[in-house]
Amino acid sequence: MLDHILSILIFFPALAAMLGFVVHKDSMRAYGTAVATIEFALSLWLWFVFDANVSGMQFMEQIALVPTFGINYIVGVDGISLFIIILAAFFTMIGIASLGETKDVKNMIITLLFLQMTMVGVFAALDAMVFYLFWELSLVPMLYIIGAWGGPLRIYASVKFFLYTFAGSLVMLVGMLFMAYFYYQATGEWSFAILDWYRLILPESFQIWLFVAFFFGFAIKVPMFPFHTWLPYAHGQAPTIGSVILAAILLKMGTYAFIRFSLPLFPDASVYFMYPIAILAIIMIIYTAMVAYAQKDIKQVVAYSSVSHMGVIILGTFALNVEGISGSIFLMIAHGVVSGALFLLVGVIYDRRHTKYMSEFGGLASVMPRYATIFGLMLMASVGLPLTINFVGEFLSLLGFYKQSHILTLLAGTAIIVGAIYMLAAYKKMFFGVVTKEENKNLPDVNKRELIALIPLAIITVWLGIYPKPVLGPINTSVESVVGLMHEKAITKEAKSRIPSIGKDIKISRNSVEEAH
Amino acid sequence: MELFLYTALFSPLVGSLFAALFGASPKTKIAGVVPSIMLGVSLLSSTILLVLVLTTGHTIHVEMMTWMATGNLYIPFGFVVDQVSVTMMMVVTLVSTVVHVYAIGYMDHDKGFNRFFSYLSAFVFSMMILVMSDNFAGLFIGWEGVGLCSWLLIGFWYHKESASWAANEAFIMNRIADLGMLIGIFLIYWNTGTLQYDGAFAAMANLDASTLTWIGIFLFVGAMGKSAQFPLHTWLADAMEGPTPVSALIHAATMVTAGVYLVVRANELYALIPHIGLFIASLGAFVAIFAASMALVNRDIKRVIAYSTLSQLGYMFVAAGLGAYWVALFHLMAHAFFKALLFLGAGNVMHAMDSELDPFKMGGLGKKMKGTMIMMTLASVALAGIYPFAGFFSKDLILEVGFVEHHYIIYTVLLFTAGLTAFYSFRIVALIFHGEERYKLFGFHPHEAYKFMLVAMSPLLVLAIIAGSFKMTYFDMVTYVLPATEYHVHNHLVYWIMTIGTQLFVILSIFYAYKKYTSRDVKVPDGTSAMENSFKYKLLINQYYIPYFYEEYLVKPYRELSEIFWTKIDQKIVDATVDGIANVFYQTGEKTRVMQSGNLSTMLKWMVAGTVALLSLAVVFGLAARHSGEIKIFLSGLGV
Amino acid sequence: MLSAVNVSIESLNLMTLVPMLIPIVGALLIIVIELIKSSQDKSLYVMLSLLILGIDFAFLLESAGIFEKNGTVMGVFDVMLIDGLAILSQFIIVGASMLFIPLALTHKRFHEFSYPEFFALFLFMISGFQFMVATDNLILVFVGLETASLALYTLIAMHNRDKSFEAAVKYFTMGALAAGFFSFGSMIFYALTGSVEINQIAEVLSANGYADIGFVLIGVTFLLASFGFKLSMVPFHTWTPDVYEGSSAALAGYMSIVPKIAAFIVAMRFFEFLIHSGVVWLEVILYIGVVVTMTMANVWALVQTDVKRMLAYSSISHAGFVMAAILIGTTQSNSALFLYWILFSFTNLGSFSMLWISRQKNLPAHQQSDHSYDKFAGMVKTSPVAASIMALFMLSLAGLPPFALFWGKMYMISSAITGGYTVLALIMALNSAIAGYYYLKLIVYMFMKEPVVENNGHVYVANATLPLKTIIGIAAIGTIFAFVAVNGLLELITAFVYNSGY
Repeated sequence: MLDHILSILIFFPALAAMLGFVVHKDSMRAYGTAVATIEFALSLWLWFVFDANVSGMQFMEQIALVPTFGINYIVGVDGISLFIIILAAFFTMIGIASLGETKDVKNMIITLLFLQMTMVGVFAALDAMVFYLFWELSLVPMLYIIGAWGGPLRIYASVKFFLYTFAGSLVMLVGMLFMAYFYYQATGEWSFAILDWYRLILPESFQIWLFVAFFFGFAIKVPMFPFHTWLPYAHGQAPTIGSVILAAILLKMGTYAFIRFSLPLFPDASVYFMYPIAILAIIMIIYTAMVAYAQKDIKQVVAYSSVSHMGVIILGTFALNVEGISGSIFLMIAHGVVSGALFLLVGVIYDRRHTKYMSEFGGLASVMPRYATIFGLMLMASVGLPLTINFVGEFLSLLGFYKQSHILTLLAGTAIIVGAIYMLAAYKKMFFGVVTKEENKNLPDVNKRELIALIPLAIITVWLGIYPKPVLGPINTSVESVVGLMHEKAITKEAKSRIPSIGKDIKISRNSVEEAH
Repeated sequence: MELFLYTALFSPLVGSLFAALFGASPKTKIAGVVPSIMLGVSLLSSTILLVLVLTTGHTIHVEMMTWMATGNLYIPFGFVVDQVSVTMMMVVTLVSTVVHVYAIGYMDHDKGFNRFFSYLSAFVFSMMILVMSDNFAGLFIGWEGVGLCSWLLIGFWYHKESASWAANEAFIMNRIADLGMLIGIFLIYWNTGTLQYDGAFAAMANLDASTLTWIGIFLFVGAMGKSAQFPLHTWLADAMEGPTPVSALIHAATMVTAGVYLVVRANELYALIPHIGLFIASLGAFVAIFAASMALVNRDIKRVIAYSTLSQLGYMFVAAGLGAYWVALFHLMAHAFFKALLFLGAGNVMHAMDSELDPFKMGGLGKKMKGTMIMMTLASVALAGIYPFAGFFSKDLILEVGFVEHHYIIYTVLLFTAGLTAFYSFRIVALIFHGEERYKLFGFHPHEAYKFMLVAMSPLLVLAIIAGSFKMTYFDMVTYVLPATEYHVHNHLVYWIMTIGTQLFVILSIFYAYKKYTSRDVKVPDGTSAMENSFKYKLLINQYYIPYFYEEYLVKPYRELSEIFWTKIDQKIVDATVDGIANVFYQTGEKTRVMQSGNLSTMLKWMVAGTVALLSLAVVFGLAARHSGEIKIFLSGLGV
Repeated sequence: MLSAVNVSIESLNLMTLVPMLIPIVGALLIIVIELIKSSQDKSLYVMLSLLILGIDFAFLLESAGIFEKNGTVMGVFDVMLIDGLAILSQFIIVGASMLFIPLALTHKRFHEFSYPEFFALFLFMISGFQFMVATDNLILVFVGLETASLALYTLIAMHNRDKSFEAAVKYFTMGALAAGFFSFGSMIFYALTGSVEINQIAEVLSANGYADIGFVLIGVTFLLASFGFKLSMVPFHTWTPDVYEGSSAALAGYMSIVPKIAAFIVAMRFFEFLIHSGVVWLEVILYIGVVVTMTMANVWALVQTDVKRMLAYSSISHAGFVMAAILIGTTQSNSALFLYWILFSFTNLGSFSMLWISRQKNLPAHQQSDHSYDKFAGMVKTSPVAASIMALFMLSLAGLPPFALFWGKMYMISSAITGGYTVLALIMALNSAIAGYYYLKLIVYMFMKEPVVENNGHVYVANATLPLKTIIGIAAIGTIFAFVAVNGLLELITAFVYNSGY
C-alpha cells in the first residue's frame, strides 16, 4: 500500500470523479465532500509516514510508459512537494465542502476532482513528461470552471488563461526535449527522469538556453511580470472556488517548478539570471502592489496582491541559499492558505451582495463583526505580521536574498510597506466608516458552511505562524540537499561562490535513482 | 522563577483572549475586570522578578521553544529578564494595570467595551514580548504586535473617518521604519550568524566599522518609527484619535518608548559607533525643541500632551545617543508615570466636557474637579522638572549629560526646551482649571470622574512625585548591564549655578504661562487676533506644514502613480501587447482569407504561380551553382 | 530476330502483388454481385468490403513478417518494392479504410451508398494507393496515383449535392494539372538519368556529382508542385477546404489521411536522397514550405466559421507539420512521421465522424452551413457524452497530453531537435499554440455557450447508428489510451523505417 500511496493519491480523485457521473445531483455535494475528505486523510497519512530526516525522494514508484524514448511514470515526494500536495488536498476538501449555491453543481464537483488529480500529479511527478502531462492537463478543468461558471467576460478570461499558459509550456516542452537529447548524447540512452537529469552537468551556454526555455513555461504560470495579465482576468471572472484553487495551488506550480527544475538542473544559469529575475521580482512586488492599490474591485485587489507575493517567493527562490529557498517554499504554502482564505472571504460578501466593488460597502465591521474579524486576521497575515504564517516565509525569503544583494533586498523589502498600503486601504473602504448603503444594513454574518472553510484556515494561519517547525523541518532537509547538489554541479567560479556548499555530502540523485530502479 | 516570568508574560494574553470571548456580545463589566486582574497578576510577578534581580543580581534566561530553524538560522522563542528588561516590565505592567482599571470607568458607556479590553491587553502582551525577548526576531514580533494593537486602538472608533485614517497612517509609517529594522536584522544575521542578543553583540566587537555603522543606522530607523522621531513623527499627533486611555498607555508611556528601549538594548553596538550616537542625540535635541514649539500653540489638550511626549522622547534619545543609557532608561520610566497621569487627567476633563478638547472653551474647571486638577498640576510640575519631583531627577540629569559630554549646543537647546515644556504644560493647566468659566458659554455641565478612576490614577501620582528617590538603587541595578558612567559636573559652583538656574528659568516660564492664561481677557480665539494671523503661529499650528507636504508630495503622487500604472501601463501596454500578438495572427487570417475565393481559375492561378515561383528560384539557384566561380570573383570584386 | 524474353516466375516474386490485387478482385466481385442480383442493401457491400480489406490486412501482416525476416523484397522486374515504408503505409491505408467504410451505414439515407459502384471504386482507389507506396518506379507511382485520384473524384461527386459536383470538378481539374506536373518532372529526370527508378536516379545523379543541378532543380520543382498539391502544401492547398466541404464529412476525414500518407511515402522516397546529397535549395524550399504551410493554415483556420472548414485547414497544417519530417530526414523523424500519422488518423477520423453523425439531411433555417460553430453551441447541455468525445478529439488535435496526437507532436519536435532544427522545433511548438485557439473555440461553443435555438440534442446524433458509434468509440479509445500503444508502435516503426534504410 505504502509503495503506491502516491499513485492512489493521484488517481483516486479521478476514479471518484468517473463514478461521480452516476451519483444523483442532489447527493453530489455529500459525495464530493466525502471523496475530498478521504483524499485529504490519505495525504495526511502520507505526511505521517513521511520520514522527515531523508533528504531524497520517498515512496517512489516507476512504471514504464514509453521506455524506448525514456518516458516512464515516476512519482515520488520529498519535503518540497509534500506540503503542497497536502495543501492541494486540503483546499479541494474545504472548497467542495463550502461550495456555495452553484448551477449544475455535479459537473463542478466532478471537474474539481479531476483538477485535483492533475494538481497532485504535477507535484508528485518525477519524470519530465509525466510532469508536463499533468501540468497541461490541469488547464482543462480550470478552463471549464472559469468558462462555465464565470462572470460576464468568462470566455475571454478562460481562453486567455488557457492559451497563454499553453503557449508558454510548449516552449518549456521544447526545452525538456532538448534536455532529454543532451542526456541521450551524454549517456547514450533517452531519459526524462528528473533525477537522472540531476546528474547531468551541462556547459553554461547550454544551461542558459535551456533555462530560458523552461523560464517561459514557469514564468507565465507564476505569473511573473510582464506575463501576469491573464491572472486578473482569470481571477476577476472565475467563481470563488476557481479563484481559490487557482491562487492557492495552480500558481504554485510555476514556483515549485523553478525549484524542481531550473535550480538543480542549471545552477550556473540560475546564478547568471539571478539579478535579472530578482529585478523582475521586485517589479512584481512594487508595481503590482501599486496596481492593486488602484483597484476598485476587492477581488482584483487580492488577485494583484497574489502577483505581488509571488514576487517575494521568486526572490526567495533565487536567493540560492537554504534560508531563501526554504522561505520561498514555506511562503508558497503560506500564500496558498492566506490568498485562498481571502478569495473565500471575497466570495462570502459576493454571495450576499453580488458585487465586488468596494465603493458598494463600508462600515461592514459593525454589520458583520465575525466576518470583519476573520478578514482582519487574513489581512494581517497577508501583510506579513509576525506570528502569522506569511511572515515566516517572507522573512526567510528576504533574509536569504539579502545574502546576494543588499540594495535589491531593500527594494524588495518595500513589500511590507506597499502591501500594508493597499490592504489597509481596502479594509478601510469595506469595513470602516458608517454603513451608508441601505442593502448593507442587515447583511447576515458568516454562516456555518462558510466557517467550515474559514476557521481551519484561520487556525493554520496562526498555528504555522507560531510553530512552523513541523513544516519547515522537512522542507529544510530537502532544500539543503538541493542547494548542496547545485553547489556540487556548479561549474563557474561565480556560481560556486554564490551557492553555499552544504557540509554534508549530497545523495539526492544517486540513491534515489537506485530506489527508482 | 521561570513560572513568574511566564505568568508575567502570558497573563495579559489570557486576559485579552478572555475579553475577546465577549467580543461580539454586548458590554459586560467582567470583560473589563478580568483583564485588569490578569494585569495585576502580571504586575505582581514582574515585581517579584524585580525584587529577585535587585537582591540577587541574577538574571533569568529561558528558551520556550523553537520558532524558525532553517539553514544556519536558528530563532527560538527565548525570553530574558535582566536589569533592563525588568525595569521595562515594571513600567509596562504598572502603567497598563492603572490604565486598565481607569478604562473600566472611562469606556463605561462605550458599546465596544469588551473589544477594547481585549485589544488593550493584547497590546500589553506584545509589549511584554518586545521587552522580554532575548533576540532581535522576538523583539520584532513584539514590535509588529504593538503596531497592530496600536492600529486597532487608534482606529477603535472605526466609524469615524479620521480615526481609521489615523490608524492606517500610524501603521504604514511604522511599516516604513520596520523595513529599516528588518534590514538591520538581516545585516546582523549575515554578519554575526545569530540573532540572539548575547551572541550578536559579542560578535560585533570584531566587525568592521562600516558594517556596524549600517547596522546602527538601520536599527535606529526602526526606532525612529516607533518613537515617532522626525521625519516620521506626524502619526503620533494624529494617533490621539484613539480613546484617551490608549493615548496614555501606548502613545505616552510604553510603545513610543520602544525605540529608546531598542537603543538602550543595543548599547553595546552603539558604544562602538559614537558618531551614530551623536547623530541620534542631535536628532533627539532637534525633535525636543521642534515638538515643544508645536505644543505651544495647539488648541487640543491631547495633541499638546502628545507633542510634549514627542519632545520628551527627544530628551531620551539625547541621553541614549550620548551613551548615558541608564539615564535614558530612567527618564523613560519617570516620564511614563507623569505623562500617563497627564493623559488620564486629560481623559477626565474630556469626560467632564463630553469630549470637548479645546482648552479655551474650558477654564475654571478647578472648582468642579479638584482631584483631577491636583493630579494634572502635579504631573505638569513633574514634567517641568521641579525639585523634588521625578522630572527633576531624570530630565535635569539629561541636561547635565549634555553639559558634561561637552555638547553645549545640545545642552542649550534642551535647556531652552525645558522652559518651553514648562510653559505649554501650564498653559494647558491654566486654561483648563483656572481663569473664568468659559465653558458656561457653551453650555457644558462638567462633573468629576468616578472615584475609582481617581484612585486608579493615584499610584501614578505617587510615583510621579517620588520616582526620583529610586535613582541610586536603580542606578546600582541597571549598571550591571549598562555602562556605569556617573555624570557629575565636578565644579560645584558650576553645578549649583546650573541647577538653580534651570529651576528658576523653569519656574519663571511656569508663572509667565500661568499669568498669561488665567487673566480675565483670555477668550476663545476666533481667528481675528493679530497673533493668530502672524506667520509663526500659522507655521506652528500647521505643524510646519509637514502633514500638508506629505499629503501633497507623497500620498497624492503615490495614488496617481498607481492609477497610471493600472490604467495606462498594465492595461494599455502590457496586456495590450499580449492581445496584440494574438490579434496579429487573427488579422492576418482575416486579411489573407480572400486567397480562398473558391473560384477555380484563381485556384489554378495560385498553383501555377507557386510552381513558377519555385521554378524561377530553381533557375536562379541553378545558374548561381553553375557560375559559382564567377559570382565569387564578382563578389570579391565588390569587396564582399 | 528477337530472342524470346524468358523469366522464371519465382524471380518475378508475384507475391508482392497480392496486397494490391486483393482490393481489385474484391471490387470486381462486388460489381459481379450487382450484375447477378442488383439493388442489394448497402450493408452487404459494406461488410464485403470490410472483409476484403480484412484479408488485405492479413496479407500485409504476412509480408510484414517476411520483411522482418529477410528485409526488403523486390518483385515483378524490380518494379515492386516492399520495404518498411511500403508496409507501414499500407497498414495505415488499409486500416484507415477499414475504419472508414462502416461510416456508410448511416441512419439517414445518403444515396451514394446505394450504388455498389461506390464500394467498387473505393476498393480500386485503395489498391491504387497501395501501388503508389509499394514502388519506387515513378511510372507505377503515376499509375497508382491516377487510379486512386480518378476513383476519388468520382466518390466525391457521388455525394449528390451541387457543392459536391463543384468540389469534384475543382479537384479533378487541379488534379489534372498536378498530374501534368508530375509526369513532366519525371520526364526531366528520365532525360537526366535515363531511368524512372528513384534509387537508380539517385545513383546516376550522385555518380555525375549533380553536374547539371539546374535541370535537377527544375525537375524537382515540378514534382514538388504535384506533391504539394496532393499534400495540400501552401500555395497548392487551395482545393482542400472546398473539396472537404463538398464531400461528405466521412470522406473528408478519409481524404485528410489516406491520400496524404501515400503522397508522403513517395515524397519521402524521392526527396530523402536529394536532401542527403546536400541539395541546399530543396532544403530551403522545404523549410519555407513547411513553415508557411503550418502557420498560414493555422491562421486561416482561426477565422473559419464552419467546423468542417476549420478541420480542413487544421489538417492542412498537420500535413505541413509532418512534412517537416521529410525535411529533417533522420530515422527518428521518418518514424515520427508514421507515428504521428497513425495517431492522427485515429483522432481526425474520429472528429470527422462526429461531424458525420451530426449531419442533417438538409439545412435548418438558422444555420448557414452544415457544421457551423453555433450549431454546436451549448451541446453539453443536450448531449453531454457526444460533446465530451468531440472535446476529447479537439484536445488531442491541439496536442494536449496524454491524448494521442501529443505523442506524435512530441516525438516529431524531438526529432527536429535531434536533427539540429532548433528554430523549426520552436516554430512547430508555437504553431501548436496557435492551433490551440481554434480547437478551443469549438470546446468553448460546446461547453460554455448557451444553445442558439432550443434543440433536443437530436441534431448531434441525427445520423448515428451502432456501427458509427462503434467507429467513434474505437477512435476515442485509441485517442485516450494512445500512451499504452505508443511504445510498441515506436519500436515497430523505428525498426521498419531503419531497416528500409531511411
